[in-house]
Amino acid sequence: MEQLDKKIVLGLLLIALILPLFANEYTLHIVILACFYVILSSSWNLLAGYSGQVSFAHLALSSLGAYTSGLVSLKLGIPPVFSILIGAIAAGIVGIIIGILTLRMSGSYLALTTIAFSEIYRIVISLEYEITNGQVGLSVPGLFGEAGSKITYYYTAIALVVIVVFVGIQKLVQSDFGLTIRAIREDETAAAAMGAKVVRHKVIVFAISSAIAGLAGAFLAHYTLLVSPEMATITEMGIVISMSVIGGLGTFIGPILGGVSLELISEYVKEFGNYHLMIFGLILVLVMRFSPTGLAGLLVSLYTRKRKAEQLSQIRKEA
Amino acid sequence: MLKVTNLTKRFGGTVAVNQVNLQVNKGEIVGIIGPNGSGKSTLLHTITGVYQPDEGAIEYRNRDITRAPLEEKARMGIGRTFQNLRLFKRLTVWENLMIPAIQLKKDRKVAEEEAQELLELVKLHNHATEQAQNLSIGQQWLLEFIRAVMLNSELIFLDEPTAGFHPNMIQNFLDTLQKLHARGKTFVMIEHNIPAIMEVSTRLIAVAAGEVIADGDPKTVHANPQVVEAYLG
Ligand SMILES: Nc1ncnc2c1ncn2[C@@H]1O[C@H](COP(=O)(O)OP(=O)(O)OP(=O)(O)O)[C@@H](O)[C@H]1O
Ligand SMILES: [Mg+2]
Repeated sequence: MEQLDKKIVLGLLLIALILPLFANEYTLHIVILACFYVILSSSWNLLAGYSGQVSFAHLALSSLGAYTSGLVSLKLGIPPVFSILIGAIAAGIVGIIIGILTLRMSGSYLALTTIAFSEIYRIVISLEYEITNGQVGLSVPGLFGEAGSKITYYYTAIALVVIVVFVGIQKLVQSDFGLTIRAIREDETAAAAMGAKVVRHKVIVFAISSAIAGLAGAFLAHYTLLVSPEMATITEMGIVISMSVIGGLGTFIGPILGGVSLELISEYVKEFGNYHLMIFGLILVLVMRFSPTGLAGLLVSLYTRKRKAEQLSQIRKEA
Repeated sequence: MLKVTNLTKRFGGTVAVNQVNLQVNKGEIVGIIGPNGSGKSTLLHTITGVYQPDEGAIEYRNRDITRAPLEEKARMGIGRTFQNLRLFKRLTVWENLMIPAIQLKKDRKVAEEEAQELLELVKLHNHATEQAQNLSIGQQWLLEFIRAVMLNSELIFLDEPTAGFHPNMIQNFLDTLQKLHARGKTFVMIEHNIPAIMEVSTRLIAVAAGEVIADGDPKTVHANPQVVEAYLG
């Protein structure tokens, strides 16, 4: 399994490296969006897949990072490179607050509270016209300035962010801290009976995953040059959840597989308008039916089957 | 080492634990018996911090720990198992054992040696990399037992441990218990299996309807007419 992960990651890195050589602007644009979704679904995977906390506030926190960064760069004239980090930190701090308020709640209450937070947040930013420019959205400066097309810069930057986020999450999950959050996911009471500080661990994971969401949102804002309430809709949240689950919750490569494949599919089915959500739903049901561990699980089982078949024929040959 | 005074725990109208007084001294194996629903598990939950008591006090090594939360009591060396298995099912056997060690920030090498030794003691050393949920029920019980030991616990509570074992594995478990006892661990063990508890316990406490009705030498308590009646009636 680990070996397979490595192969896939190496393959993707290779593709990522040579992509700008032959891809046109449109393709790069799609890939940048896919990277945005990959970051969101991998941080949601950290939260839901590894620590077992299903939150629906992820996109609201991403949007919060976007608005914070947008406003800070607009009103204070701070360059986007720094304002994006400020956006991430702001999302992380709000994540801590939501975490502290909700994490003593059991699963379904957490889910409901985060939906409520998300909707209230979206309504507030839609109505606070003076500050946020409401539904129209806020025009913000670009990360690499406005003049000319800088799409390869954006592509390179977000690819680096994806790599850093991925390595970071992977290191975290494999650390002692990561093992403890997985134990908490399995059984909170047993984890506490083994001395684990359950609430503290959950709040930290919530904060980290919120900060990553904020980072992604802020980055996207300074790429599209626009921040609008659109990002914080439950529809967007549904897309990210579909990506995480279809890719494979609690797996390493799942978020990449889910994020990339669904973003590509959604480009093809865009013309059907909101029906693409129905298509995602259908894929979700099919994947859950035939491979509950998602595309990652499917790949692993195909791979091990192939390896076994090879070993078998090897043995036959030798015999 | 443990002193419980007038401990009371209510659920709405039911008084599950009623003014319980008891004491556990270092080196004992205290058995707790009592009919179904008499409040044994609730007593254990309230002492270990799964529940907060409504009244009374708990002292451990001369420190008041009445309101200390579960994880704090665990870190002080109070270990426990659960009546219904509570392993980290999708973690490996090895990872299950590392969880308490990580929380105590034990030296990695020390923890690994300890885990290896305990796995060999209960003959699970060939299963270290398996997911806990793939073990047999008896093996899962043994794992939960040694996981509590990994907490450096001096005092370990067991809630009906023999219920999880096939009859011919019970003796095996009792032997393991006595080996650990010989190394200085103190045990409090809720049991329905009378022959088992009579074999290992150094003292017996009988509860009925949330109250302690007898406490003392196992044979005397077992023969106590009130205890006999509680069990039959
Ligand atoms: N969480 C709870 N909420 C409400 N009532 C409870 C709760 N836990 C236990 N009780 C009640 O408290 C009483 C004591 O239950 P407890 O589980 O402690 O008994 P027990 O002696 O461990 O029984 P058994 O031998 O069946 O394990 C019972 O009447 C039970 O219904
Ligand atoms: Mg019980």
